[in-house]
Amino acid sequence: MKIDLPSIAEQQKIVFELSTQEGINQLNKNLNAPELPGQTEVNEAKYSRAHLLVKDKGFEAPHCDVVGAYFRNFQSHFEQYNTDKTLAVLLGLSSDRRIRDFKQGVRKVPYDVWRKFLVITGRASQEILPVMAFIKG
Amino acid sequence: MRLVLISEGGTQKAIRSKKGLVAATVGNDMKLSDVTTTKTQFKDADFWLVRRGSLKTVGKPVREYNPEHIGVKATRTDILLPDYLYYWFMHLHSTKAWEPLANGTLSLVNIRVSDVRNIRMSPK
Repeated sequence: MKIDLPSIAEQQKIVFELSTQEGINQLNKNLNAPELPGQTEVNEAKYSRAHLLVKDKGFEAPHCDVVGAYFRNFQSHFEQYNTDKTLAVLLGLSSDRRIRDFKQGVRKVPYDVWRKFLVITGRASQEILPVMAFIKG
Repeated sequence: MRLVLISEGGTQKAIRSKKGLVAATVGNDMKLSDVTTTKTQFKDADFWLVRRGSLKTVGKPVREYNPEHIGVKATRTDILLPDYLYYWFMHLHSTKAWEPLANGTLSLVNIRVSDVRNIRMSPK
């Protein structure tokens, strides 16, 4: 086994091509994700739907009742995330205390964390940014 | 920082460049161990290789930590991008290159950390 080690610029180019292809494959795979029943704990009509919007289009952090209902529903479907600790890791949080705080309304869920959860649960699509140029350096 | 290659019997020595101490691999190609830290029980690695599993899974690079997996972290990021190495291992796994090196029964095999560390690298 032998690794050819090209220049860093060449490595960046190879990584870009392969990671793009990997992303396309994942996006296609996402279309075949299973459909699962949603939460039934709360009547969502009584709460604002602004948590589904993107940041510059009127996003508002979800009410803690909605957070708790969504999280518990997700955790009931996926055994590997049925503790606050594993859910915290999935969402890129360092502590399970954050999850508890979000559920109890002690803290508001930050946009990036909530958006990630919405994408993972198929409630929002992912934003793909255009590359305008490969600027060196 | 410039990597200097000198032919001198395959040993390593440190040489001083204008910008500081440069580890120079002398003579033969570099090994993966010259540019990465590679070990098990390595939570801070860039990615991990499945050390123990079936012939299908062993050697596969993954992004999720498992203390049993072989963690790989690039230490010479001036000449090696961690993601480049990750995709190189993906390619290696897809070509079944680990199969001849895997030890064990048909259902449960493993690869050695030393086999990973000793992978040769050829700067171009």
